[in-house]
Amino acid sequence: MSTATKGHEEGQDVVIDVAKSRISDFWKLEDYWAIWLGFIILAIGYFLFASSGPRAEIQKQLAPHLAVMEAEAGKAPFNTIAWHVADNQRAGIQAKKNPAGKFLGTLLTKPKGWSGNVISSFYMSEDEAIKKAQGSQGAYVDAQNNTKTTLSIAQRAEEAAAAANYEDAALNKDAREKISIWNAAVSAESKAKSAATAKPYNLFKSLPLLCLVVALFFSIGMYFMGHSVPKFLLGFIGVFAIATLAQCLGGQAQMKYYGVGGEAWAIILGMLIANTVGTPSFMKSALEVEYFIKTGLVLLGAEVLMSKILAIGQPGIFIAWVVTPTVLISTYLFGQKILKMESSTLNIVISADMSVCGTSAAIATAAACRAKKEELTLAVGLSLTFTAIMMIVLPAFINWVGMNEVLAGAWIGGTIDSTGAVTAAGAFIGETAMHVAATIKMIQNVLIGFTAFGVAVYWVTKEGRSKGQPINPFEIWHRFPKFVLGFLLASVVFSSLANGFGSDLSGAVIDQGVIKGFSGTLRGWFFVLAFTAIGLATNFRELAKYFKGGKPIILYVCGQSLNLVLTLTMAYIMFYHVFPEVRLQLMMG
Amino acid sequence: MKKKNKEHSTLEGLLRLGIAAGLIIFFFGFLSPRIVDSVPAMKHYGEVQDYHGVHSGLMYYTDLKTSQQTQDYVRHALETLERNKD
Repeated sequence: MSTATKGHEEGQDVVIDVAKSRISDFWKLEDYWAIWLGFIILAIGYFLFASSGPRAEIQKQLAPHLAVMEAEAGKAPFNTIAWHVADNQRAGIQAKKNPAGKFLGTLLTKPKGWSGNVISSFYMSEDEAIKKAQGSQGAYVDAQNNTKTTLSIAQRAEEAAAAANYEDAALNKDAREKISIWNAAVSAESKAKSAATAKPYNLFKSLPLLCLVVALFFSIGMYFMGHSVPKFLLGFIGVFAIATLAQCLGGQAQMKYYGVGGEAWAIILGMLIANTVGTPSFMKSALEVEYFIKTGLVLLGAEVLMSKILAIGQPGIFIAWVVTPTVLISTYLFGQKILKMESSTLNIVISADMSVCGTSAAIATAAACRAKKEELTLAVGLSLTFTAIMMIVLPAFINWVGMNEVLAGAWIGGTIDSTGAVTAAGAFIGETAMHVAATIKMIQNVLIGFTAFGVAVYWVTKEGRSKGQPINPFEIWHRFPKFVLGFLLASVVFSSLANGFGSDLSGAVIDQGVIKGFSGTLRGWFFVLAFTAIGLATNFRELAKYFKGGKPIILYVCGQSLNLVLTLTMAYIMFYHVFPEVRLQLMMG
Repeated sequence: MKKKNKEHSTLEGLLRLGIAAGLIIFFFGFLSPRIVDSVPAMKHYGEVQDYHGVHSGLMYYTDLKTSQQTQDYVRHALETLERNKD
């Protein structure tokens, strides 16, 4: 990931960067190609799911349910059964369910989760699907019956509260609780229904097509950047095959216990191949780590939606946006001044992945400060290892001390690195903890944009500058990683669209359309391809050098300890002293 | 001689790859399920993930199936709080 040598300071052997910008950079630099390709994907996604036609259709479908919810909202001090029915129907309206979304869903599908038989990750016959569906039929019928029973209990409780004009606090509380139980039964029924309607699939057909489409897509940039397209295409097939195997292994049933997904397996498989039999020479022309990562990051920009910052109100801002930057900066300074880390880029990548949100923050920061691929690998490895420990130990400790679910969720959300592990650890405690943890982590996720931009600016103006180099706006512009601008632009454009549409419409056409139906899935593939390329280009011996004196581990442990203390303190102050009513309401749902 | 050395290192590389693959299969296929079965907390940890359709290895909030449900849960709780204040 480091920049190429561009010149030498007179009389000394110090490498300095004397980059210059040219018009041809627009079609010769991968930073710009990442922006062009990223925006082509986002434009297609917008056209298919969020442009005026599909948007009007979704708006029409949402309208009756929103009207019911509005009418019901003023009736009682709790959300009524009719309100919940309308809300469930509203949540089911998603732009990705349109014909284009269904086609893309089939094309972009990654290998499915599996347990004993690896083939089931790629293929399920009609007979097997019927058999699987029949096996889950009993559970579905039970779930349906449970919904009916809990509904009639909830209806009686709501009628009793209504008969008292909603003025009896005990009856209101009883109705709220009974409705909540019924709502949980509805959710369980919906899950049982998906198992009872298993459908056949054949990824052996869709994956080669996806490989071809993605290879041709990236080869446009490769052609203009002056690389050999046939060699890239040939190498890409190998890289894609390993990336697919990584996705398959990430879906194995045991992986959820260790927080190991497709990205981690991509590095592991790549490194195993590179350091045993060696990376096949035909693949080397497709090890375009930065090209894949930067394109993925531009797509990730569209997922950094600013409106999410206010998801849980002011407590979330204090927990995620005051504590996180404090921990990030403190850890980085600790690494530089006290530990005297040899590499400042390794220091900032570890500090960011530990304090912000794990792998995704590590990728964005590494690309913004042009860290070496070994440094990114090391930071991701550290994050995965400590996440695997913390996602088990932290909920176990929380249960042992009997911590309140909202406080526990905020603590988990602010400290465990990976988003998936945060949600899983929260779910271990309970549903409220899961939602609070995931919300705090989501707010932290949005920090990625600011972190990447801040790190990029800091690096071009301070850290990455050699002695004697001029510092003026032109020099800053020449050295600035341009893809960061694409990343930020995507974030600003999609945040503005989301704000303009309002939460319900943007949820249906942006979150559940452009992102989940198209760009987010492709971004996932691009990152796995990038990690495969990183693994295939990483030498174990080179990697070991970065562990010198165990400093990266000390840095991570010290930073995370500070994070644990500050997050818990801030969450306690926010939810117990400043906004206790938010905690109480979140507990009630 | 050179060719022989190359063949030797290829075989050695394949052997190393085979051993690594064997260890991975042994851990995740044999050892790990037994560890999970013997630690109730881990078993519960897997069950809740299966129930909610989440995976601890997921990277970003948009990768989670539960992200919309989470946002709705928190939004509705805060809206109810506002409404009841009025």
